[in-house]
Amino acid sequence: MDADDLSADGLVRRLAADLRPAPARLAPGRRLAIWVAVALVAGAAVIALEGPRPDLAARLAQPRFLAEQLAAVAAALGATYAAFCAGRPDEPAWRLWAALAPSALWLALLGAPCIDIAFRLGRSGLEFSGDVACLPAIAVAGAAPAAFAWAEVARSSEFRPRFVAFAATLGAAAWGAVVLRAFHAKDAALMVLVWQAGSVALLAALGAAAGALAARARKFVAHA
Amino acid sequence: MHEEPHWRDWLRAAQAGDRVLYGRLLAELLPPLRRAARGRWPGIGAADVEDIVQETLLALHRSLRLYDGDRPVAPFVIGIMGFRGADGVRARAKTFAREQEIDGAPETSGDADPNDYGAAGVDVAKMKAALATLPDGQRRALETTKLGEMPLTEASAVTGMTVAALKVATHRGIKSLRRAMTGKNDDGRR
Repeated sequence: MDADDLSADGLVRRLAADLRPAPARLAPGRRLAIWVAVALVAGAAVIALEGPRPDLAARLAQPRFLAEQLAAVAAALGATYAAFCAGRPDEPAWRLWAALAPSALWLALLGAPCIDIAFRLGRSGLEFSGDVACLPAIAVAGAAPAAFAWAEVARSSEFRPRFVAFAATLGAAAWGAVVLRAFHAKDAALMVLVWQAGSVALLAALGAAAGALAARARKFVAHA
Repeated sequence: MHEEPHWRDWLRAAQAGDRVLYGRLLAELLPPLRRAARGRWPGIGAADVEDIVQETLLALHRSLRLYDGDRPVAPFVIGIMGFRGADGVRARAKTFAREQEIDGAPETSGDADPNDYGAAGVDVAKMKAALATLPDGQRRALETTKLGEMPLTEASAVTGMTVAALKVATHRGIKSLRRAMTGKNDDGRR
């Protein structure tokens, strides 16, 4: 084999000679199932450590609270599924964005009561105060599923690295928000929208930035 | 890209480590990949098509684990080409955007250094200037393997690049250098 053969045929010969067994990765659906198991265990552990909010049972009986929580769970599942799919080159982009649709539904459900209250009672009706504790609480509650998702996607980061990182972090943060509302009682409409959804959005943006940095570092190492 | 029925089996065999079928699959993929690259980026030259095809093969090699054996091969390979080809086209556009006319190049034979390069018809100043415009990896690859005439293993140790990366960088560096000096691709098009 001529090592200086730079033609495509030469490359084919070198790649074939360099082949090592490469068992197929688990399908995105199966990886999502493992992610769900990790998220459930981690979520239960955080709620047990923090202690569930005293009115949790009563709140779960309220259709709006239940709908918001279910939408947040759907956002977490959809975003994580999108992250696991996005690393594969044969997934069309529209399917990935479709998987993020539950996030839009979740935001709409959180935003609707704020608009309703603002129309009926004006600005004074919207209860709002500082609650920066949401950010670290969501980060802690979503840490384990985020770590799992990041470890999974790091092994397939060749394609769409920013989107993968964004969606993986969004999924974990949305799950963190679900867990947070099970032990954190401050959940007036605007508070949830600004502090909880805001924290999720911020964490997802940080995830995307970290993904972009990781992709650049990877390129730099490859070309160094 | 037309999917041959045996590609799925061959790629699954490649995942299991079958080098023969993998080599055959890659060789069979070359013509349809070239056609697909020409169809997708009609304005690019033959050299760029080869670059895109080779980038695609390298990315496929790195991404074998991502292939799901129940799915067709063609969308997987075309998907890879879409990502790597677009990256390559963007990178080349950036490189050419940085190029500029060289005012200080000698205009008469008396200005040039009358050495062996002159006899070979190579304008040293122009070549050095063109070399300086290449991306770092390509420039270092050419400086070590071609100008320094180092063996690949030695050049690999000096640059810290793998031998495979060095070969690819040298290959691209030669093409980029040719384009930078003549303004033409391998196929003679500007």
